[in-house]
Amino acid sequence: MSLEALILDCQKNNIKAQEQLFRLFSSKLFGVCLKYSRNYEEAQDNLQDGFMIIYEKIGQFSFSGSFEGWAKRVMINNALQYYRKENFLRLVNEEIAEEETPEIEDTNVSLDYLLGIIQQLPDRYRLVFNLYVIDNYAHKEISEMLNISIGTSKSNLCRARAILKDKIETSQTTTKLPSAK
Amino acid sequence: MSERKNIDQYFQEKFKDFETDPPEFTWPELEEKLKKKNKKRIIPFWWKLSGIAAAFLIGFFIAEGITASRNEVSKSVVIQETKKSNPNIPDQNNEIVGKPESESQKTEKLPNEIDQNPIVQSDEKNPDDENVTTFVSDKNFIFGKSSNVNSKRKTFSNDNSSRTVAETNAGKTNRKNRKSAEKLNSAAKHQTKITKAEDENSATAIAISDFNKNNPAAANVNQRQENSVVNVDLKNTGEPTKAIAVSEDVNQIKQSDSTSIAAIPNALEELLKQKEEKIVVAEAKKEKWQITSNVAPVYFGSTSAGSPIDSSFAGNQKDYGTNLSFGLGVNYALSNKLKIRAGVNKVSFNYHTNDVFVSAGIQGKQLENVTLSTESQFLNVTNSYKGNDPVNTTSSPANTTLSTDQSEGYLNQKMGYIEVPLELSYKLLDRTFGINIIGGVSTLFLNENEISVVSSGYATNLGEANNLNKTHFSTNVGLGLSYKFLKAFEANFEPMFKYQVNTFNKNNGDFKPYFFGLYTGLSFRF
Repeated sequence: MSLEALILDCQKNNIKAQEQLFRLFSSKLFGVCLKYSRNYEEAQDNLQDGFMIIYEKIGQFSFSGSFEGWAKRVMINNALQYYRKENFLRLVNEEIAEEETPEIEDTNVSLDYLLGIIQQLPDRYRLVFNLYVIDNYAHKEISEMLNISIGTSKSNLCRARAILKDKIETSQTTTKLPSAK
Repeated sequence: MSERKNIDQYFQEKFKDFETDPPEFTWPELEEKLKKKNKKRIIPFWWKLSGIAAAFLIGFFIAEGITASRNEVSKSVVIQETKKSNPNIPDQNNEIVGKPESESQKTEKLPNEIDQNPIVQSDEKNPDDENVTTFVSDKNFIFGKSSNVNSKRKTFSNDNSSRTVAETNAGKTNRKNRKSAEKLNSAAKHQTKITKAEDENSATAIAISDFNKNNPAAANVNQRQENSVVNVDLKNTGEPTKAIAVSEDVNQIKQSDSTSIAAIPNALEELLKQKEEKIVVAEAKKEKWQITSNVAPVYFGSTSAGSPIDSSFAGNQKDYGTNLSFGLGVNYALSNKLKIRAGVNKVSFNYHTNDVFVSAGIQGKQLENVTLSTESQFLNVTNSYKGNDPVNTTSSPANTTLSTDQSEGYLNQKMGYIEVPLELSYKLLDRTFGINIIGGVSTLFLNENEISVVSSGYATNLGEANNLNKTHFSTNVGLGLSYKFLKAFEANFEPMFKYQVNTFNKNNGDFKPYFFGLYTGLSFRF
C-alpha cells in the first residue's frame, strides 16, 4: 500500500491504517519527542498526544510536501505546546553578547549520553537548541514559536551550547570514553 | 578521533537519523484513545442530550440560587439560636467572668488590638456604677450569639434589641461569607472548651464569692443560676473581662477577613487558568455545536387594523398583549462566520378587541370566524357602533328585544403555537462580545385556540376561531448579541422580528399579525 493510500485511509478514520501509520513513523517521531522532552516518560506522553493530533488533522494534509516533515512539525508543535501550557517560558532579561560557536573534539560519545545531556538542559535552552541546531529553524521562527525575542533565542542557544560543550568535555576528560559502548 | 568540530555540526551529524522505537504498549494505549474518540463521534446524539441536560441544570441552579439566597439570612439566624441554647454556653460565661488573668494572657497570644474595637471604647465610657441591666445588655452586644440564653431567661426589657443586634451582625457575616461564619462558630466553641478546662474551678469560686458582694438588684435578676451570676460578676471584674469578649470579637473579624483575603488570590489564579485554557482550546479546535435555551417577552401586533374574528370588528380598537416565549435550540457552525440554527419554542399571543357589546339572546349571533362553544350559544356579541354595523342589522328579533341587557366588554383571542425556527446567523463581530445578524423562517403549529368575551369582570369562553391554519409560517429577522464567559458558555440577547405569513386560511379580515420577541438565553458550546 502506498503512503498516499494509507494517509487517505487514515483520513477515513480507519483504525488499521492508523496503526500502520504509527508503525511506519513512530520511531522517527519518538526520536523527535525524546529530544524535545525532559525525559523518556514525558517523551512517551508527547508521542501519544502528537499522534492523536496527527490523526485528527490528517485531513488537512494536502500532499504538497513530505508527510514525514508534516508529521514532525506537528510533533514539535505539540511538544512546544506542552511547555506553553506550563507557562514557564517567560523569563526576562536574558540577552547576552553572542559568542562564537564553540568547537569540541569529535570523540565517540554515545548517542544516549548526548540525548541525556540535551534532556537535562533547562527547558527553553533545550527547545531553542533543538529547533535551531537539529531541526534548522531560524531564530526569527523560534522567537515566534516560543513567544520570545530573537535576542533571547540567540542567547539561549549560546548558553545551551556552552553547557553541552562543558558536559561533553568533562565526560571526555574524566574517563576516556566513559559511556561509549 | 581527535578532530575538532563545530558543536552544532557535531550534534547535527549525531542526530541526523536519530530514531528510537517507542515502548510496545504505546500503540495499544493509543488505539484505546482513538476508539474512545471515534465512539464519541458516532453518537453526537448523546452529546446533544447532555448539552440540553446541562442547559436545564444551569437554569435550575440559577433559580435555586435565587431562592436559596433569599432564605439564607433567616436560616443563619436559626442556627445562631440553636447555638445559644447549647449547654456549653454557661461555661462560656464562666470563662468570661472567671479569669481576668488567664484571659489577658490569651489576649496577648492572639494578635488582636483591643483598643481598636469601638465596642470596647463604648464600654469603657460606661461609668462604674452603671446598673446590672445595662451591663448585661452590653455583654450581649459584644457576645451576640453566646449570651442570649441568659437574656432570654431573664426576660430583660432590652432582650429583644440586643438579640436583634446580634442577629443582624450574624446575618451580615453570613450573607458575606457563610463558610467563614461557620469557622467562626467552631473557633468560638473551641475557645470555650479550652478555657473551661483551665478555669472551671477558680472561675466558679470567684463568681460565687462575688455574687455575695453584689447588690441585691443584681442578685434578683440572676437568681436562677450561677451562670447568670457570672454576668453580674462581669461588672466587678471590669476591664480585663471586656477585653476578652472584645478580643474574641476582634479575632472573629480577623478570621473572616483573612478568609476573604485568601479567597481573592484564588479567584485571580482561577481567572488566569481560565484564560490559558481558553487560548489552548481555541487553538486546539473549534466546537461546532451549541445548545441554547431562550426565554423572551413577545410583543404581538398587526400591521393593519382588520379583525380576523368578524369583519364588523375591523374598526374596533385592539389591545395587543405581551406574552412569553421559551424554548431550546441547537446551533451548528457551518463555517467560522455562518451558523445554522434550529429549535423548538413555545409561544402564545393574545389581543383584545375593545368596545364590543355582549347580550344574552334566545339564539346566539354567529360571528363569521368563530365556532361557538355550547355554553356561549345564546350570547350575542356585537359591535358597539350599532347604527352602522352590518351585523347588527341582520341580527335576530330576539336580540333587539333584549338589547337593554347589553353590557360593554372586550373580546380576547388567544393563539398558542409550537414554533420551530430554522435560521441562519452570520457573525459580524466575534470577540468576547459578538454581534450576529439572523434571518430565517419559522414553522408554527397551532396548539391553543380560544376566543373569550370579557364583560363586567366576567370572562366567558366564546369558542374557537375556525380560520386559523393548523400550520403556518413566519419570516424572521433579528440581531444577535452574545457575551462569552467561562469556556463554552455564551449569554445571548436577540431582538427578533417575526412576520406571520399564512396564519389564517380564510377571511383574515385584513389582519396581518407579527410579533417581536426579545430573546435572552444561555448557550453552551461543545
